[in-house]
Amino acid sequence: MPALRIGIEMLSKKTSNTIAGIAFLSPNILGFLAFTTIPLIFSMILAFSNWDLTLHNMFHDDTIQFVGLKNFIQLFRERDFWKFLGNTLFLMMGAPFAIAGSLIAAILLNKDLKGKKSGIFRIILPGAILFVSCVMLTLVGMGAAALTIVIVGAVGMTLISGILFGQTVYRTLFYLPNFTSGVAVYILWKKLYSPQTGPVNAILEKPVAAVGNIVNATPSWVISAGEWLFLIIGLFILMKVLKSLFNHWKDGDLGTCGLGLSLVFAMMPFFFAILWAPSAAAKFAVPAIATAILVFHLARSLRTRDFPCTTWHGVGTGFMISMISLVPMFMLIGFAAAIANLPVLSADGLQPPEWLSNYDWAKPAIMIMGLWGAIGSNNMLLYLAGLSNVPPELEEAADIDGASPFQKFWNVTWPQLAPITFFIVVMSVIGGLQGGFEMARTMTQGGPWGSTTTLSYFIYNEGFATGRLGYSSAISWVLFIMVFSITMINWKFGSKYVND
Amino acid sequence: MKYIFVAILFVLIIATIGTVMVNKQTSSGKPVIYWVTDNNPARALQINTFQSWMKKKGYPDCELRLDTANRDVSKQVIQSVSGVGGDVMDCWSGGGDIMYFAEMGIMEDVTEDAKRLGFDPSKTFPSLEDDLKVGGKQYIFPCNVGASMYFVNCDAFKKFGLTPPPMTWDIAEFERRGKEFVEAANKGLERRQYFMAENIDMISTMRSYGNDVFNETLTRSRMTGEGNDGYMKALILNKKWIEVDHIIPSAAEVQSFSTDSGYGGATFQLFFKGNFAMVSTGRYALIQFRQFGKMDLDAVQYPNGGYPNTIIATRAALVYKGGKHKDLSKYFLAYLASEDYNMNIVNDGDSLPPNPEFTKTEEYLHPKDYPNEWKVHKKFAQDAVDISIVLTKSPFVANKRVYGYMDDARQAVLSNKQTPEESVAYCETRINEEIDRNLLEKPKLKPEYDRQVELQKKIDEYRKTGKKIPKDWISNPYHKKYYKDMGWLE
Repeated sequence: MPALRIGIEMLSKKTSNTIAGIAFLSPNILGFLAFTTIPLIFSMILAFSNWDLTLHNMFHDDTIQFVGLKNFIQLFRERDFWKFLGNTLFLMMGAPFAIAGSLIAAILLNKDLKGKKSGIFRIILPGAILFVSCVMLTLVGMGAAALTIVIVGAVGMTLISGILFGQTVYRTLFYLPNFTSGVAVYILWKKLYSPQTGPVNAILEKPVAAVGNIVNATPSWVISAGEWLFLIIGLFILMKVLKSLFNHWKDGDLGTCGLGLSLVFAMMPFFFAILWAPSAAAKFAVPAIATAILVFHLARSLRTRDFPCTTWHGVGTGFMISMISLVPMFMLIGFAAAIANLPVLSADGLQPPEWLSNYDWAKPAIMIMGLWGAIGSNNMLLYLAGLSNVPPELEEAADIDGASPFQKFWNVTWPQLAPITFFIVVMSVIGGLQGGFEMARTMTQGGPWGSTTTLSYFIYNEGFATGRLGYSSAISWVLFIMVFSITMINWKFGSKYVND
Repeated sequence: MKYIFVAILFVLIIATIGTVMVNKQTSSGKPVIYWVTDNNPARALQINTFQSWMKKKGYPDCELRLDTANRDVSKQVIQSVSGVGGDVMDCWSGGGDIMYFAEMGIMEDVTEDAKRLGFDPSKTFPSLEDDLKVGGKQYIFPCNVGASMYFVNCDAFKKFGLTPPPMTWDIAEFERRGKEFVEAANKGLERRQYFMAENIDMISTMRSYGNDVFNETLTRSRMTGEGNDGYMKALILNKKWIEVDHIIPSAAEVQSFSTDSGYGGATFQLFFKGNFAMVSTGRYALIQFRQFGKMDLDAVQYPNGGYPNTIIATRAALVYKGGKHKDLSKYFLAYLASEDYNMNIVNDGDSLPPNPEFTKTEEYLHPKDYPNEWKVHKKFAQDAVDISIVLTKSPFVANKRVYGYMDDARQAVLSNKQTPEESVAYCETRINEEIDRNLLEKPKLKPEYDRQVELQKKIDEYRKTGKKIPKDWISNPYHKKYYKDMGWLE
C-alpha cells in the first residue's frame, strides 16, 4: 500500500509538472497554431482553389471551387514569374559573400585586444581609416555632400570609441544593422545611393572619371583582352568543375543522371553569355569553347568507369558542386560584359552608376546593401560563438607544428566552424528565397521595370492588386517547395560534409 | 516560476479590465461611426462641422470618430471582407479602387438614399459621374475633387527673364519653352538643377492625341495600330524630354535633390525653390504651398497633341455594406454635399469642393489671405468642368494591373530595354491577356462582355462608314467625351 501511495504521489507530481509545463507553453503553442499552422494548412488548400476576393467573400454567394493544378499551370506560364524568380536568385548570389563577410567580421571581433598596447584595431586601422576619411573629405570638397561628412564623422567617432573602449564597442556597432528598423535603414541607403548628391557617388565620382579617362586612352584590343581574361578565368573554372564532376562519376560518387543534371547547371552561365556578352565574338565563341570543354571531358571520361553506381546516386553532391561554381562563373561573365561596355560608357566621360533608378544597377545596389546588413547579422554572432568554442589546444598544436595563420585557419578553425556554416547556409538560402519584400516596397516599388521585384513582392501584388488569393497561395507554395528542396539537398549532402 | 506565471496572468487580467473601464469612460453613449481616412489636420474641423450640421438638420445624434490607421487599401480590403471594415471609408477613384471594391461587394448601394438626402451625382462635377457609379448604381460621394493641371511658379520663369506659359499650349510650344527655360536656368552650373516641369502626365498626353488605353466598350486594350499610337507618342516625348532636352528630370536627378520631407515629398519643396518651374498636381497642393510662403502662382493645362484634356479624380467616401450604422453613415455622405462641408474645403484649399456651385463663391475665387493664388482657382474649377475626364476603368480587368502595365512600358523605354513600339505592343498584349484570364475565371462577366463586343463591332462599322454613333453604345468615359467633342455622336 505505501508503495502504491508513493506511486500515486509521484504520478500526481508528474501530472502536475506536465500541466504546469503545458500551461507555460500554451501561449506560444496557441499563437503558433493560430498564426502559423492553421494559416499554413489553409493556404495549402487555397493553392488548389479559385478563391478570389472579388468573388468569394461574405457579401457574395459564389462558392470557392477546387481547380486542381490550374493555379500552378497558370503560374508556370506567367512571364513575370520567371523574371521575378530570376531576380530572387540574382539577389541570392550575394549570400556567399555575406557569409564570408560575417565570418571575417567575427574573426576580427574575436581578437582579444585587451592588454595589447599596440593592437591593429587600436591604432593602425583607426588611424588608417581616419586618414582615408580625411582624404575623402578633401576629395569631395568638404561641403559637396553634407551626408558624406556626417558619415565620415560617424566613422571617426566609432573608431575613437573603439580605441577608448575596445572590442565591445565594435561588436555592438557591427551588430547594429540587425536591430535597426529595416525601413529606416532602407531610406538611409536610398539617400546614400542618391546619384548626384549621395556620398557613395561623391566618393566614386573622381576614381570612376579617372577610370573613364584611362579607358578612353586605352587601345581597344587591351579592353578586348580584359574582357577575354575574365571569360577565360570563367572557362578555367568550368574546366575544373567538369573535371571534378567526371572524377566523381568515375569514382562511383555520382550517378549518370546526377552527372547530367550537374552538367546542365554548370554549363548554364556560358549559355547566358549569349545574352550578356556584348561582342559578337564572345557571344558565340564562349558557348562554343564551353561546349568543346564539355565534349572533351565526355570523350575522355565516358569510355571507362572505374566504379559504377546507381543512376541517381550522388545527385546532391553534383548539384552542390555545380551550384557553388555558378556564382563565380556568373560574376566573371558579368565582369567581362562590364569591361566590354566600358568604352561606350566612357565615350562622354564615365559616370558613377545611377544605382536604384537604373535597371542594370538596381539589383547590385540592393545586393550591396544586403551584404552590409548580413555582415553584422546574427550570422556574425553565430560565428563569434563558434570561434569561442574552437578548442585552444588544437590551435596550440598547430602552432607547435609551425602552421601559418592561414593554414591554422584552413585546417583547424574552418573545419570546427563547419556545423555553424552549414546552419548559416541553410538559413541564408531560406531567407534569400523569401526575402526582398521590404526592400522592394520601400526603395524601388519593385522597379525599374520589375528589376527588383522578388517572389515575395510578387505574392503580395498578386494577392492584393487583383484579389486572387488562391493563385497567390499557389505562388507561396511553389516558393515553399523551392525552399524545402534546396534545404533538403543542403541537409542531406551538406550535413554529410559537416559530419565528415 | 509557477508563481511568476500566475502573477503575469493576473496583471494581464487587471490590465484588460482597466482597458475596458477606460474605454467605457470615453464612450459618449451615442452610436459611433468610424471614418477611415488619412491623417490630415483638417479632419478635426470636418468632424466638428459634421456634428453641428447633424444637429442643425435635426438628424439623429451620433458620434463620428476617425480611424487613420487603416487607410491602406490592402487593410481596407481584408477588414471589409472579414466583416470589420470602417463604417465610412475613404477611397481614391483614380487607381481603380472603386471598381475593385464594387466587385467585392463591400460598398453599400446609396442610389436611392442619395436622391432622398441630396447627394446624387447632380450635386457634383458632371465629369465625375462615371467614377461615382458602377453598373448604374451610386456607391460613393466625393470628399474633394482633383482636376490635375500644372501649377506654375511664375517667379521661377521671371528669374531667368522668361514669361510664364499660356493656359493652353501644344506639344511643340511646350518643348520650345522647355528648352529655353532649362538653357537659361542651368547656364554655368556644374550639374542640371532646374527643370521646367517635374513630369508629364502620360495618360493626358496619350489622350490629347485622341486615344485611350481601352476601346469604346472597354472590352479590349487598343494602343497599337493606325491612329492608336497616342501612348507610344507620349513615351517617345517623355524619353526625349528627359534624356535629350532635359526639360523634365530623370529619376536619378530627382533622387539627387537632397530635399525629401513633408507632404508631397521633394516635389513641392523643389517647386517652391524654383528647381521645378511647374508641377503636375491638383489644387490640394495649396495646403502645402501656403506653408512655404508666398509664391506668384498660376495654373496651366498640360501640353496637348490636338485635344486638350486632363484627369479628374476624387477622394470619395463610401458606406461599408457590413457596417453597424449604415443609415447614420449615409448622413455623412449627405454632409459632404452640404454647404458647411464644401466651405471647409474651399477655405482650407484641399482641392476642389465636391459641389461645383461653391467654386463660384468669392471665398473660393479670391481668398483674402492669399492674393498670390487668385489666378489659379478659377482655372482649376473651369478645367474640372470643361476638359476633365476620369481615368478609364474596365469592368473586365483589374485596373491596377492596367495602369501598372502602362507604367512598366514607360520604365522599359526609359531603361532602354524596349523600344516605344515594343513596350506599347507588350503592354496591350498583357492587358488583353489579363482580360481573357479574367473572363475565364469569372464566367459571370461573359454575357455582358459578349454584348459589349457586339456593340464594339457596330461602333467600328459605323466609324468606318462615318456614321454617327448612339451615345449609349459607348461605355468608355474618355471616348464618350471625345466623340461628343468631335461631333461623332448621334
